[in-house]
This record gives sequence, C-alpha cells and structure tokens, in this order.
Amino acid sequence: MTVSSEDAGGWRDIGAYLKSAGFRFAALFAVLFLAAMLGFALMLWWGTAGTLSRQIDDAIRADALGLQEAWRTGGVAAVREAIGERLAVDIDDHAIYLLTDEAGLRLAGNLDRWPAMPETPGSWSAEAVRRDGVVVPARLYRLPLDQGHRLLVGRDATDREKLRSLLSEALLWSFAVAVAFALAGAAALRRALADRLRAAAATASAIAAGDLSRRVPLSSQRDEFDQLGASMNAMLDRIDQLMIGIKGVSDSIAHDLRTPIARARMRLENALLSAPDAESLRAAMETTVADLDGISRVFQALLRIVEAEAGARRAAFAPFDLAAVLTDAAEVYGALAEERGLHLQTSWPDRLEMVGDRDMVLQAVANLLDNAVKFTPAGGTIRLSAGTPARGKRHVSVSDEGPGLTPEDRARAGERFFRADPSRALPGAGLGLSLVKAVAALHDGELRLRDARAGAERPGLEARLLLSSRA
Amino acid sequence: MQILLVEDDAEVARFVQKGLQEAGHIVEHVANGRDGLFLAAVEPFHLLVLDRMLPGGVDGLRIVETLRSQGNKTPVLFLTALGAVDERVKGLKAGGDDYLVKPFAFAELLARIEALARRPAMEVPATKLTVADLEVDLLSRTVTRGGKRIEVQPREFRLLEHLVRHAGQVVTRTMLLEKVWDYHFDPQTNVIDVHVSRLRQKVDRGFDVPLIHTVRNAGYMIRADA
Amino acid sequence: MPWVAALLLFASMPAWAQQAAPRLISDSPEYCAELAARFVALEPEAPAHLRLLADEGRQLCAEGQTRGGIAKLRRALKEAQRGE
Repeated sequence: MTVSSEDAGGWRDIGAYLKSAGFRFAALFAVLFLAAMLGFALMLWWGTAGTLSRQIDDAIRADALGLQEAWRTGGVAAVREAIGERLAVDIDDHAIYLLTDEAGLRLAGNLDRWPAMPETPGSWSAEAVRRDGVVVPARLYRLPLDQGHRLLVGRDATDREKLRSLLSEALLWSFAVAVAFALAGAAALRRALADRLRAAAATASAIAAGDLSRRVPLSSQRDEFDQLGASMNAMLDRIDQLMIGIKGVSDSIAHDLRTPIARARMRLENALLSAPDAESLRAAMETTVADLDGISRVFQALLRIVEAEAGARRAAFAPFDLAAVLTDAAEVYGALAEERGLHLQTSWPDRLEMVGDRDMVLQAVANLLDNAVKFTPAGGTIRLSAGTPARGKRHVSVSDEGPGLTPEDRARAGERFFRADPSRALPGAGLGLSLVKAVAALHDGELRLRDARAGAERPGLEARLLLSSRA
Repeated sequence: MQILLVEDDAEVARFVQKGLQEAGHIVEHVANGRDGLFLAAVEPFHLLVLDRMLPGGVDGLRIVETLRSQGNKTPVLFLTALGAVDERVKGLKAGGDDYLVKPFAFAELLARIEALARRPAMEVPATKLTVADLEVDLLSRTVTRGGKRIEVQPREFRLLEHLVRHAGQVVTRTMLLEKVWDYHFDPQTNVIDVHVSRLRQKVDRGFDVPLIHTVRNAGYMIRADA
Repeated sequence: MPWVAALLLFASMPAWAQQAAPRLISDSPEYCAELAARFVALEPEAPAHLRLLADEGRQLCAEGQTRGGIAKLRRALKEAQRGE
C-alpha cells in the first residue's frame, strides 16, 4: 500500500506488497475467518457424526455388559438365550453378536466366524462384514469371557458412514466457499484501509513536494483516521505559524531596522563631509556607536521573541518563586520610579511557586514596568500585583496612570514594532509588548490589556499577564 | 597581564589586541583553534580570550574542555557571536569563566577581563573590605566611612560590596545586573544608574573625596582618587 | 477412518481371502423359520393384528423375500413383547 510503487523490479513490488500493512491486516482477517469456519465445522462434526458414533458405541457397550451378566448367571445357555432374544426384536437389523469357545467354534450369534483381521490393541475395532454378498462396515467390540470364551458385540455402521461422507463432502464445499469469502473479505478490507489512508498519504506527498498549504481532508466519520488527519493538520498549522513568525522577523528586520541603520550611516557620512573640528567628529562617532548598540539590542530582543514563540525554551523550564522575581523587579524599578516622582504599589502573597523560564518572566515584567514608568506622569502611582486567579494559573498585573490604549491600539499592541501614537516620540523600538505576549504564550497563558480606570479622561493601562503555573 | 587571544576575524582581533595593549597588557594572537590549543597548553598565560567558532577543526569549546581536562585552570573569557542562552550555558559548562556576546563595547570587555584576572587574589576569604576611609564589614553587613555609620538597604550593600571587591576596575551595568541581581535581562532604560546614584548619595555626600566614579561609556568604578 | 482402511485391505485381497470376512447369517430362511417358531412359542396370546403380521412375514420368507419376512416377524415379536 505504498504511495509510489511505480518503480521497476517486479519482485521488489511483490515484496513491498506482502510487507504492507494493508496486506497483513487482510491476511490476518482471512486467517481468523477461516479459523472460525474450521471451529464451526469441527463443532458441527462433533455434534452430528460424533454424536452418532458415541451413541452406537454406548449401545454396544450396554449390550455387551448385559450379555456379560447373562454369562455370569447362566453360562453359555443364558448368553445364547439373551442373544436370541435381542436378535428376535432387532427391527433395524443392525446388531451383530458372536459367542465362541476356546477353539473358536461358534456357540451363539449371527456372525459365522471370528473376524480374521489382526487384533488391534484395545477392545474396539472396525471390520468389514458380509451380508447378502455385500460388504458393509461394522463397529465391533470384543469381550473375553473366562475359560477361553470370547464375546463379540457390534453394530452395522453403514448409516454412520453414510452420514460421515455426506457431512464431510458438505463441509469441504463449505470450506471452499469460506476460502472464497475470506479472500474477498480480505481484499475488501485492504481496499477500505487503503482508501482511508489515501487522503493522508496524498497530502503528505504533496507537502513533501513543497505545497505547504495542503491539509488532510477529513470525513464526517470522526474515526481514528480522521484523528490522525486532524493531528497532522494541527501540526501543519503550527509549522505555518512558525514560518509566518520567522518571515515576520525577516520582514521586520529588513523593513524597520533599515531606518536606524540608515540614520547611523547618514550621521557618519555627514560628519565625514562637514564636521568643523575633531571634537564634533568625535561626538558624531560616539552617537553612532550608541545607535549601533541600540540596533544590536533590537536584534537581541527580536531573537528572544522568536525564541519564545518557537517554544524551544520550554525544555529548560524549572520551578521558581514568582514572588521573589517580582520582589526583585520591584526593587530594580522602584528606584527608577522614585527618581521620577512615581509611587510603586506592590501586592502579592509571600510565595508564588510556578514552573517556567525565570529570566523570560522577569524580562516580561520588566518590559511592563518599563512602559508604566515611561507613561505615568510625575506624582502618579504604578500598581504591581500578582496572585492565583484560578487553579494552575498565576497572574501578574501592572497598572499605570498614563494615556492608556484605545481598543484598536490594544488589538495591535502585540505586533512587532507597533507604536501607538502617544509613544512614538519616546525611546523604545516597540518590541516590549511583543515579547510579553510571546512569554505568555510560552507559558500557556495570555496577555490581557484594558483600561485601568474605565471612563476617565486618561484611563491608564492595566496589563494583565496570565501564566500557567505548571509545565 | 599576559593574554592569549584566539580569534579568526582579523578586524576584531586587531581591535581587541590594540585596545588591550593600550591598557597595559601583553597580547598574543592566533587565528585558528589548533594553534590556540597548542600555545595555551605550552605557555603560561594569565587569561585566554577565545572565539567559539574557529577554523582548523578545533573550536573554542573544545579548547577549554581539553585544557580543563589537563588540569589547566587559566581563566577563559568567550568572545562570540553565538548569543543564545543555551550557547552561553554550553560555554560556561565546558569550563569557561565568562561569556561576552558580539557586538560588544570594548570597555565591557576590558572590565570583565580585569575582573576575571583579579579573582584568584580575592579567593582569600576576607571579612572586611576597605577603600580609602570606606569600610565594608561583611560579617555584620555594615558600612562605615570615616568612622561614621552609613545606613544602606541590603541590595545597596551588595552593590557596594561588588564595587569594592573590584575596586580600581571598571564594573559595567550588565555585570552588575548579573552579579548583584542574578538575572540575564535587558532593561530598556538605565535602571541600574538610578541604584548607583542612590548609593553614591549615601556614600559620597558630605565627604570631601568622592569614591564612586562614573566611567564614560563603560560603567562604574570605586577607587580612592590618586 | 479405520473402516476405509479395512475396506481397502479387504478389496485388495484375493478372492480366497475375501471369503475369510465373517458373514452375517441372520438373513437366511433358516433364521426366518426360527423366528416364526419363536413367535408361536412365546406369544400364544398375541393380538390378532400381530399374528397377521407374523403370518405375512412367514409368507414373504416362503416366497423368497427373506429380509422382508424377517423384518415383519421381528416387528411382530417386538410389538408383542411391548404389549406384555
């Protein structure tokens, strides 16, 4: 059931065919089906021909025991009498009896002599017996009596043999039909399997050939094959996302970094051409060094964002105390806030255990605090809080008293390099919230933005970072 | 100090070598890993500055691993464009002592080199650190200057302690972030400056001689003015 | 099946060996007479239809249809026995 079995080599094809899962499943089905048929046939045989055989044997044995009793009570005469009685009422004409003395002379019964066939071990045997010139099969039971006398009790087994041959012929034909059905069923099974898998296999081939937009078509059955297809589609969507992310980075780098690079170059060229003295030349160069540092940091930030979005850092997750991280962040930014005349209000429980990337979480919180400090005017308050909003979740919230973001801007806040109008003049590349979003996603969470004081003229922004506390 | 620089980029090598020599160090430079490993094993250096990606089949990581397996404890600073966190971890795990990512500011490189070189001397446990009339008592966690007790918060104490341990050396903002706060992150604004200036208020205000100095484009340094 | 083996063996034997297979002797006119005598001796009070049956049996034996006659006589004997 390979997708491309058009290569040359007949034997190779046959080998592949035999190894294919479809063939093996079909073969398994056929074997099981035939085994079931065989079981059925054996049960039937046992129930019919087998039962008949057992009935005959039981009758013979009962007869023999009865005659043995007669021998014990009355010797030869009693046995002859008993045999005579039995034969007299033997309507079916199936009974066979013979009583001989030690010399082999017939004393009673309807068989003229002891069978000449060699004695098989055990008391039972199957012999040929003549009746009216016709040879018929017989089932015979030998019972040695004392003083050398021997008793033979048996039944004509013609009917039994007829039933046996009838049954075996029927069963043989049934088996042939069963084999045909098994083969047909196996072929149908194999076809069904191939059909179900064809969609997924074809999609995979197309994707391998380069068409990444293809997805596995799903039927309405929602069975295991559809689940496989759905998983493949989810995987492909994720790959799509990652590729868009990477492309986004390349686009951003190409488009948005050209400006600062061009600026730096212009400054240097300008200084080369028209700087009045060495001092201003130095000054231009120093500014350019700072510019280049800035560009370098933007690169770093972009790479961190992509790293976070790709999810690779999940492998390095470790348990840490979120409360400790926030304490540190508050300490680092507290001094800055104080210097700007801002109050930093904090509120969180003593310990907030979680599993994740400590550095990334600090970076996200630092970015949020950075924004809050940047936009809150002197005298204002920044609130930093954290807690457990639900089982398995942690939240970190930063509220400021700046101009806030309009709903439209909020939607675009996570875009790389997006700057809302009020912030265009302020330093920063516009990557801060982008990273926060990426960190949230890395920790199975999200970033929610809303007005800190709804309805006020300057509503401020409340940024709520939600994280999963478990890996 | 005798420094071995193993760097295959000629421009970077020239830049670094010139800068370090001007700072008073003797710098030997090779451009491939094999020669670097050989020299490092054979000649005594105070410090090695290694690029990670080197031609010749032997890269920076391998050099350090080999040296460490031979019992060579010379301090190593990686200077490399491989900046991702796991690369940094790889470098430090292999036996490196510090890790600086390109592009870098020369002042940062110099500060870190001198910090590394100073380290062995300071391994001797000290209970008191002194710079001019400033005394930092590590046991009681107190700071006194000219006999007068100065109240500092715990974090400010650690900041001061770090500066004093590297008295006379440049300590960059990144180094402070890493050593005093134990984080690798990039603050958008110069939050560190605010902390240092608060500390400076407490330590230098009211005294004739300022001890904490800002080094332009580099960082900070504590020293008694010569 | 052992009977098949026996039959094959029997069929493959020469004529004199085939003669060695035992023969059922309860299909002979002598046995017919024996059964008739048994009937008469043992069932004097037998109902009419059974005595008729026995007579028919004797008749058949006399005409040469031994098996049919023996069968009727046996049936008569069995019915008479059951009636006891």
